[in-house]
Amino acid sequence: MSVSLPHQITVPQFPCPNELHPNHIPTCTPLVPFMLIPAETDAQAPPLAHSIEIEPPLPFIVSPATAQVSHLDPLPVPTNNYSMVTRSKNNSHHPIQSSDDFICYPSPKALTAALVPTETKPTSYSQAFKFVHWREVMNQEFSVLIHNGTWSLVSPPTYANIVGSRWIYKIKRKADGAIERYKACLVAKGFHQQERVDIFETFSPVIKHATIRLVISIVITYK
Amino acid sequence: MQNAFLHGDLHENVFMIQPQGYVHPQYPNHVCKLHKSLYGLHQAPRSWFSKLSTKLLSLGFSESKVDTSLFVLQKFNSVIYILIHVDDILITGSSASVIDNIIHSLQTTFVVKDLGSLAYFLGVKALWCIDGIYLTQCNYIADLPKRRKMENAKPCTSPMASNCRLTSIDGTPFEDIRLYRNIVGSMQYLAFTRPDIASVVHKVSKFMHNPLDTHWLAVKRILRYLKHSISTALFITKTVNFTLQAFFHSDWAADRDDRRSVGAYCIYMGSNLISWSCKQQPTVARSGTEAEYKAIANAATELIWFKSILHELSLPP
Repeated sequence: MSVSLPHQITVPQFPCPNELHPNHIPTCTPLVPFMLIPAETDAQAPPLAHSIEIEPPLPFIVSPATAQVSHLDPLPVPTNNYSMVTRSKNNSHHPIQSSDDFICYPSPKALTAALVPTETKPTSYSQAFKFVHWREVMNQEFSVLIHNGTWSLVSPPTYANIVGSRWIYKIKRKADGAIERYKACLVAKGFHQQERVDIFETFSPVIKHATIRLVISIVITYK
Repeated sequence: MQNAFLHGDLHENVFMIQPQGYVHPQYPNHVCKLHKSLYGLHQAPRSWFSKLSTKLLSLGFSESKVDTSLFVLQKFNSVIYILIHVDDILITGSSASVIDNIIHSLQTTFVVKDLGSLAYFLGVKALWCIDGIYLTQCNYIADLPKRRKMENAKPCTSPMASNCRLTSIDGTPFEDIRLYRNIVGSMQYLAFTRPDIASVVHKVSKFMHNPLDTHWLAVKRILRYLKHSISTALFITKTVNFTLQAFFHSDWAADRDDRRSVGAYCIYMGSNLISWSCKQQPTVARSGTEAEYKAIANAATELIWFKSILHELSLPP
């Protein structure tokens, strides 16, 4: 039995999260971000009523002041388990004075922290689906694949090689390190493929370097 | 070209499990029978290329017989060349309006981003000047020493000492094999614009499988030379004719381990250097003359290839 997926799918629009706080986990956990209508049903029918409503994430106001470390607060005494007595345990927080009377300040962490790209890309679906922005790009990617007619759902064949699939996540950054956009990509696990079963011929359309130089040379001559 | 590999049509029966998180609620045990290619499949590049070449053939292009990545269109006294490297496409020709038409008709099928005139292609920077073009990989070279925190190394004016003979036994095993392969692999990619390091890179490449610390010293010397010569570029200029000239050389029994010889050649078209190679010969030569003949044969093979590609572009060599 073959169920070909119709093009009409409903993708609930997630509100765009504040990029400054990607770690904010929304309150909802059930993930049914799309709804597929089997081919047997009328594609023009209104969407099914049981679509799960997803609450928008709570508004999260970030004030620039919270990112700064207040210098007036008393420095905390570290609580660790090892026996070594550090200077801070002796309540001595002054910078170490070197022999030539030069006072070394510790590097201002509050200033450097903003420059280092802190957000890392998730490595698996289970990490990514906790975040609204990753879910959103996955929904977009999935609807593009469905719209292109990339596959049709069939009941699993008895004797066939079935390859795995996984999501890959990328953070596209601008030249200054700021986040440009998030990208999710569905890939097939090609290493599950078997020759003469689901691979017959392969080819990599790469160019010979000499050809580029030859063509550039001709172009320059006739310019 | 964006999302290139998703365009290709699959003719094989490939079944894939449903993507995680997007399992159909009514048919959780069904599998996806792929009609279009996906990233990661072995045949993805091939199906993409056949899709693109079908499109180009329908636009009137003809596929070159000598190089599959070259497509030529000759119509209304204008000639258009298209070079394809996976999803990077270089288009050039005698008529700007025809080029615009072609880009426009490609845009009807694919998502194409026009990056304007050639400035950056496959990591190679192109600098235009009045009488030619400079090809340089300076960004790539600048990035190389950072991987080994060698930014502060002293520049050096030559890539290797002339009496340096590397063997597979002199030295102790180098601990970071991955780094060695990484750096030497990058140097091989530099071969695009740097014929001057072809010979030394060939020498250090022979020990990729089991690098010793002596080999690593040689690699570091090359990195210092690259730092010295970072502004060196390959210059391609106007040529008066398309005469092909080949120069070759062989080094008899150059390899201290198995006494195989090294053959090298470089080929000029007019005044432009367009091809070079430095390679160990696959069989042992019993005399210097034998090694030379093998080197001639390799150079001649490349010359014949160039002759046929020029013939195809209807340019007399």
